[in-house]
Amino acid sequence: MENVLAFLVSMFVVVVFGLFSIFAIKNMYTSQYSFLQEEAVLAFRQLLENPGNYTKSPPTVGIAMKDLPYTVNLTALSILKNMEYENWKRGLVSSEDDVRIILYNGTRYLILGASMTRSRVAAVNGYAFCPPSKCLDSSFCCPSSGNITVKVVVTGD
Amino acid sequence: MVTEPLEAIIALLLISIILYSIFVYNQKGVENILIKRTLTRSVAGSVAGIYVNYLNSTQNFHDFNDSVSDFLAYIGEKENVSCSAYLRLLFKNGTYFSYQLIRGRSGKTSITENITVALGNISGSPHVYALVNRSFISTVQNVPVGVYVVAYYDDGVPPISLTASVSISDGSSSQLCTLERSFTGGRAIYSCSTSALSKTVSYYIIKVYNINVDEKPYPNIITISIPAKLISYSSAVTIKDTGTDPLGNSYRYVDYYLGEIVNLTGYANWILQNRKGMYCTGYYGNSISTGSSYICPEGNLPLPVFLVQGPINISLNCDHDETCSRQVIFIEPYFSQISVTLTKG
Repeated sequence: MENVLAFLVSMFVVVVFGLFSIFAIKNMYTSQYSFLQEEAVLAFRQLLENPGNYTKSPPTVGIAMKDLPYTVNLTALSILKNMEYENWKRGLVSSEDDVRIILYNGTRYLILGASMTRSRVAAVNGYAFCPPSKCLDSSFCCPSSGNITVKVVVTGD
Repeated sequence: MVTEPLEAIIALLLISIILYSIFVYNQKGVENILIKRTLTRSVAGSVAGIYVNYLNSTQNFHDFNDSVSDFLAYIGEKENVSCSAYLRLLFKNGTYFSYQLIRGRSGKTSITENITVALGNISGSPHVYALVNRSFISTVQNVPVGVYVVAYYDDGVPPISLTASVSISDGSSSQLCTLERSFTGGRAIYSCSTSALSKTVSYYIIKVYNINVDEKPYPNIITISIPAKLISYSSAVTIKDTGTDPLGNSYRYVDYYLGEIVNLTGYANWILQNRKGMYCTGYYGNSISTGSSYICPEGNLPLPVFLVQGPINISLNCDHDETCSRQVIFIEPYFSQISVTLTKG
């Protein structure tokens, strides 16, 4: 009786841990999370550390002032806002994934890029300086403190 | 020791699970650090933006410091971290001066990111002003008075060229001033003689007009009213703006890199005024060390932080009109570094 009980307990342990291992290893190979996270970090840094070159195809996407990373150039932001999403997406993330850029000035949001969310999502939050009281248009102005929140969301399957 | 096969299998499985758990934990840690570094970098970049905005505006240093405090307090609350920030001014000889903007608390983990700011490349609109090299015009001596005409852009960088017309008037008649010396980078000193003007006036009017900065007309006319006094000038201490280079060539300079020493021709009490209108006073020295940790009594600000790039007006021995002399030097563009540390735990 003792042997049977020990066998059943052992089998239970083996089956539970075995299933865990199989799923964990399967997940390790199929997960895009890590890649998406790195892609989101790279997209965030490129966006806010690069002045951008919108004459290229695909363009080098960036909204920073020249020599001043994390200070928003409203002219570059305006170009980006008026561009077709498909035209600038490739300049920021891989063609299989989508990206959404959210800028928040404390009262209003400016959202650029894809509105869809696919099966996997990674996001990076950060901050940038926006020249105080300057406006992109009537809908989005830099706050008097100059500090805005920036979020880059990358989504893929 | 003899091991049952089943036990061996279980042991192997447990070991593999432990190894996998370590791998996953490590990977999550790396991802976490990547995101935290990005966050810290963006905070440092934002503080650098606040710093550049301070330099290019009329904001004083304490308002800038308050803006940084408010922003980092907000970050601290939102991200549940403690923030500290430093401003570093990099000197030409490779050393630096570090100034603590905000002091945070220490913790278990911290991430530091630096953003280097090259301020010399930011264009903007030009500014022009004039400065008379004495505090009055003597009506008992026929010594011409010098008028500095100074131009600089928003970031403090001088233009390549500057031309202007300067005249001096007693209210009824006027006389043109002559160009005495033109400095590299669009700065000049004009010599204004009052020999043909009335000596019975209380004020003389100096007018700077026809100003062209980098060959573009500057629309404003600058007018300075300077008192006329029945006293004589005493000999004045000035900055030693001539020297000899290692090859034996003589040169004249008014441009200094942060960290260099401004030598004077004698001992003097000095007052510095930066382009933001801030003052710094110093007592009886024969030099001003721009890289020293001397604290300006006004504003409690170290000298290198006070000396923002661009024109600096120097007044020497101006506690008495007779001895007072004024000059303009330029602090060349320099690199600044904003360093931010986010601490958790």
